[in-house]
Amino acid sequence: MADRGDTHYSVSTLNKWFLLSSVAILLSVVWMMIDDWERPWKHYQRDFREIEIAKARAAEQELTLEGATAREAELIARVSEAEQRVTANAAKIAEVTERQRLARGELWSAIEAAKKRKSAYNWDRYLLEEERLREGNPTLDQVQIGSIEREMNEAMGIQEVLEGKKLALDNEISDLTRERDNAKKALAIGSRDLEQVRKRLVQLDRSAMSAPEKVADVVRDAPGLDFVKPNLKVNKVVLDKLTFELNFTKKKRIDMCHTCHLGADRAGFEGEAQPYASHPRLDLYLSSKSPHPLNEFGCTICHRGSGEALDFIRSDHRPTDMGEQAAWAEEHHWHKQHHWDYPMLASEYTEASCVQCHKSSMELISEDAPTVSKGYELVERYGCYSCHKIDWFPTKRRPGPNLRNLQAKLTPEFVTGWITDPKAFRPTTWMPQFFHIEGGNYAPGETITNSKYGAGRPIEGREWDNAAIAAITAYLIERAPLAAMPAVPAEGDAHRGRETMRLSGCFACHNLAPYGEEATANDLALARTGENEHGPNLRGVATKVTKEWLFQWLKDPTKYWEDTRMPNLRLSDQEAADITAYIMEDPDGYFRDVPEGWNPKLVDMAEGTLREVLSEQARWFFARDGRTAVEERLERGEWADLAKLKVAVGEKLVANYGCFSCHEIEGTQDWMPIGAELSNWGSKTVDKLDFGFVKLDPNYREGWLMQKLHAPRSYDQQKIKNPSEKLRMPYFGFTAEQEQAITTFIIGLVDDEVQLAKMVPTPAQHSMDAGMRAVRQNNCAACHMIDPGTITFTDENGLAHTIAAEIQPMSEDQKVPSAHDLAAIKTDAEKYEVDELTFRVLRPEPSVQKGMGDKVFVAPERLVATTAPHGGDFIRVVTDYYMSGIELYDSSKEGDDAYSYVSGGSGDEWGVVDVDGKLRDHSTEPYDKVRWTFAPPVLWDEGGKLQRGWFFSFLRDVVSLRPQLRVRMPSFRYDPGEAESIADYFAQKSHQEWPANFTRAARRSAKQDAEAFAAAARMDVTALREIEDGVSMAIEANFPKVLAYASAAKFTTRPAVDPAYEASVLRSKTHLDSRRALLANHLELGEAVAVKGVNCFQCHFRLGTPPPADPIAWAPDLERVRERLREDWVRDWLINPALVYPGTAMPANFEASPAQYQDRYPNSTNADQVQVVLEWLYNFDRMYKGSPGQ
Amino acid sequence: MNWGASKAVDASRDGHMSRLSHASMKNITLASIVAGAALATAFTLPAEPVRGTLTGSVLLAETGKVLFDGEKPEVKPLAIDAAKSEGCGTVDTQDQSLMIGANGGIANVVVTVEIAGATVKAPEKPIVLDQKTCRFDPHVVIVPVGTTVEYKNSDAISHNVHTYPSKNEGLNKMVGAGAMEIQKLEKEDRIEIKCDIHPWMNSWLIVANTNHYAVSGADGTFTIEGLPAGEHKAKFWHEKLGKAEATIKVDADGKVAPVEVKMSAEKKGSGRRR
Repeated sequence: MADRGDTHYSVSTLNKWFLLSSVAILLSVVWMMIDDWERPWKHYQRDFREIEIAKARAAEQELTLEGATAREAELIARVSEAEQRVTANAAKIAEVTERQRLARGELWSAIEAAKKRKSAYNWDRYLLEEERLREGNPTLDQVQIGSIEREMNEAMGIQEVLEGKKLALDNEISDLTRERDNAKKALAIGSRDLEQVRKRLVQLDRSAMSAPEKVADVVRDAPGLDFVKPNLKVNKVVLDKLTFELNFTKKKRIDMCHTCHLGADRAGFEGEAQPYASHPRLDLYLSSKSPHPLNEFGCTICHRGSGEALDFIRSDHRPTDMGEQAAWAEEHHWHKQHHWDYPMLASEYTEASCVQCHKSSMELISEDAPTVSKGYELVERYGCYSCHKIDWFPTKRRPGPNLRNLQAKLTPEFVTGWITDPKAFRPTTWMPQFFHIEGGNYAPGETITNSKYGAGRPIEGREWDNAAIAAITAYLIERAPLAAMPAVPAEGDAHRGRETMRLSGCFACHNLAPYGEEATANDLALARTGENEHGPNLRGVATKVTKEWLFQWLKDPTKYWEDTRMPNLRLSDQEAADITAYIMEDPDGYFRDVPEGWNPKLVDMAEGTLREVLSEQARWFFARDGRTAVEERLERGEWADLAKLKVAVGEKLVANYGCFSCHEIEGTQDWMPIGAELSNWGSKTVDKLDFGFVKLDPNYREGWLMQKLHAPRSYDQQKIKNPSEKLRMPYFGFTAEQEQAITTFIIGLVDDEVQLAKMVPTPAQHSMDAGMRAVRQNNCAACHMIDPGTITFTDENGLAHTIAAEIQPMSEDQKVPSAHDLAAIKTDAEKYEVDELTFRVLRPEPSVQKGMGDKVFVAPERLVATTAPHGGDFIRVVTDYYMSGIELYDSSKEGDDAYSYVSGGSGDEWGVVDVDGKLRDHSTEPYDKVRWTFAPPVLWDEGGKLQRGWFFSFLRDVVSLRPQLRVRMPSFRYDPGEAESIADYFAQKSHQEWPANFTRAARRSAKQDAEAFAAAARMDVTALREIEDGVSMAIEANFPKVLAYASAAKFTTRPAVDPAYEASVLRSKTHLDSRRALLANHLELGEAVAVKGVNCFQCHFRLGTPPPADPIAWAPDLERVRERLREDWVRDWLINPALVYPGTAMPANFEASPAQYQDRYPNSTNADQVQVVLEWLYNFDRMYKGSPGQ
Repeated sequence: MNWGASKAVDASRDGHMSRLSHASMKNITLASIVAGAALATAFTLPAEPVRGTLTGSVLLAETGKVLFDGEKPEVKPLAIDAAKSEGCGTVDTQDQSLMIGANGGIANVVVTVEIAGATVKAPEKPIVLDQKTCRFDPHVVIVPVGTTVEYKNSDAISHNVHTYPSKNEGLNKMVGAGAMEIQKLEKEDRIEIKCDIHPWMNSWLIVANTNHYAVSGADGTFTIEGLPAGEHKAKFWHEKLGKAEATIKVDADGKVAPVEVKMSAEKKGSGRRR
């Protein structure tokens, strides 16, 4: 427009500016839209799409491979063939279809007619009843109504006939077309996978889409339009039950992690780089079938970090180490999110998050969360909970021995040496070190105080600690007035004591491991197997304790220390005296062997110096009493006496260092623990921790905690602190693995209010958890094998198999088989030059077609892995002793001469003293005989074997069950509920393991491979394998199918243990009455077969009377059977003992064909005989009193 | 001659069976014809051994001896309690684990010779291991692989047969008075068999991968027949004295020098156990 000349500004200039600014604004709007639209997570999603496309293409390739296409072609051919046949029959089909149509019509008419008749009948009936009532004549028109009813019935009859006719015609048609329908279904299934992949490709890959689809695919994600149905979108899960605790309110947790971590909850992306990789253990985490599905748990409840940030940096992703941190800082400008209070956990600490929900099931998760479980067990073992409160921690007992009668056990010299450095005497002790710690509060020559009031002199750290040790020793002794132990009542024999100690079971929990790498005898008591570290290493113990104390301790440990884990072995006076003599006289050189440099003495300080230092300590620790009072007491009062000063200062030091938390000391019962409470340490933010001058990454708590465990007082270094302010936590000497485990556990102690954390265990879970804890704390597994180990090997086709099996002796020179450990087996295989290892299978293993007790032969190079059995190391100690005696090593001799052997015999005699006092040489017996006769019994499926009530009462009151055993089951002291939980645990375990065992046994009996069995049972082969492996979710979902199929095939095993208490069948009146009705003298027949036929009493005890055989042939008393054993188990046992305990001495008495003992029980089968013997076993207490069955 | 004899035995067996069937006359006639034919062949055919397959060797026997080296140890009789051997009768208390004859010969030594490439034939009839007066009889028995063993109990009381094999499947069954158990042994093995009720009873059952074996007699002598020409290794095993080996040479015309092997008692508890 032309400039009119009367405008204020030049319009053309204005126009230019307007244009410029409009364009600028337009560009900035466009920039804004692009910036808003172009988010970093979209890049990841696009990349992931590419990965998915590549995968789908690869899958398509695989499926369209030669074989696959041939198969598809074959299926299509079959369909077309079937179609052709159908077409050939078209006329017939048409005819039958027509007939069916007519039949349908007839049927319809008949149905209508019947309905009409029925309604007519009902109406007439109503009218009639009305009339009858009115007339008062109940039988009015009887005949008439009867005929109407008959008509109705006729009509219904016709209807049924026609229904049958139509059904027959339906079947005829389907017969003609079935083949085609099946072929089509097979084709659909066969090409289903390929169809799915192709569909997926069409969805994902633009090159596979048609033109309009392509356009739609692009437009879908365009800015402004991407609210409808975008490909690239934020994925989130809103978790109401997992809230954040904010001040005065709770906030829902919203996790958006899987916006970028797209492959996390799907299988198939295991090898991909992050963030696309699949999560490990999808059976346990994230998948919909797992116990922790993504849409109920999200991600941050376990991994922490910020779930709502859609950004790599703002999510607070955690680098694994400083190197990665530097790399991220450079590449991504990564920096820690300082204002986010829940930093992401490094992957090695992720198990910490298990604790918050699984407080009541820590034992049950120990297999899947090994690190945090180890940390939990270490906290229990080392007693952290006794100084540092953890509110829910189930163990409450003091972990250290009672010090009330210290003087009866130890000398003051020993106490001094022990407090100074416990590891100097016993390197494996759990007691930590409090004084003279390297890298502790102060350096050795450093001054710890310059004197409180300036009056005294500077005190060096070393003097301070020495005086402290003297004071504490004096205090402990003063607080433990001597209650003298009586003299040992019997004369002990060290030689006998050696055998008694070896066989009583001491070395199941204790070991005699040497201190360094020195050469030693090949003796299992000298090895450290984990199970034999439950109690302390007994090396050097004769230099520590007195004879009288040791005798009393062996007789009854709880008299000295009520909470001890050492059980009562019910030793006679003579036995205890023998063991005491063996330890104190120490003919083999173990119990007086102390580490180099151990020489306990009283604190060596001049009296004057000691007084100076103690006075200074008194000034510091009694500061609250006021300077005047303290000086008064020191100069003129009771502390003028050095002894009294020591005790007074010692008391304060014990209060300061917290000795009373682990040890019971007279007068300290009410004192509060000194450590910081750990109940919610995991919720502490890192700014609350004092890093001192230690060089650590100040952003993370894990490092702080590891350092604290590693060198607890190092945070004091370079700080200026007075003595009463210094850190007090003692030095434990943890290894790096232990530190990591404990750190993982402590980090898990959070107090966030998460609703799912209030997981209330089911009664079954509770008894399993409590039982597992009781079994672990009482170390049952040391003597008893609770579950067998497994081996993994490859067969000739390279297929790997994992089976439960145990190694057998490799050659006739190897008396006791190797330890169940891959390295040990391979070493022994080389040593004995065997090219084939023999294993005995210990449960039905259908995948290798072996049953219980069968042998399997594996070349050593084919053995891939082993898993250790749960428990039973002591079995090898016992059998080793019976077969070869004890090997001793004399370092003063050379070569093979250094080794000598001892046994229970003396001089030239060799053997073991049996329970009847006779010396017998069992070294030439076969290994199985010694193992099943003289070693502790295995507890395989013990819940299926024992009656639960009896099991409980046995644990509380141990009786001798196997009279030939010199090894003995101890009497444990149980906390309330512990014995019940052990009995419940075994019953629950048996109940839970039953479906897997049943399935294995069924498949073995059917002799089918997994695919065939699964097909026959109409289930998925993976589900079948999972059931056999014991996966509980698979069992819940699919076991009924296995049960149905097996029952149809007439396969049975003994039924599952009932988790509730069971009632006896064979003793019940109903059963006995019904049996007597069929066979009046069934109990007498049982007696005849058992006593006169088989003659069980040749080996079994009878009401306390021993059998006429040597102890090696003794068997348990049959009197106990009816109270102790479950009936199903005894039946299985009688039928074939070798299938229950392969290698046992009990023979199969009822397997002969034809059946034996016909003279005792005429015309009986083996099953009949088993039945009557069972009834006799369960009822013979009644037989001799009155009439049976009363 | 062997031919004829065996055929005659077969014929008589046929005749015996035919008494149970109907056409007895026909069968007797048939039997006698067969017998006649067999006798005829016996006189016409040369006495050739069954296996003529090995090249050019005439087969002969090998005789040997196993002697005890060193001072004869004192072997005490077994201490068997009267209560424990109730029902056994008079139990032979000789300790069969080490029996040395007057001339130093060791009884019950197992001698095996393995021939490379030979097939091992299992006997058709089962080998019997009996239990008589609470002892196993024989104390040592050797069978080739694939043999069926019959465990018999000729006593009036029950015994239990409990085998402790390394490679074969185990067996642990009660065998009543007069009854028996059967087991087929497929793998080379050395099996100790015990009775759990009477712990002094034991027996050794060797399953060998050869048909050339023998157990030495009371004077330590043994004979193994049918060895082909060449050099072979003979293995000796005794339950108490351990193992020994000897090389034997069979010449082309079948002559073998008798072999004498000495075994001595091993000291107990010496050397390393493991």
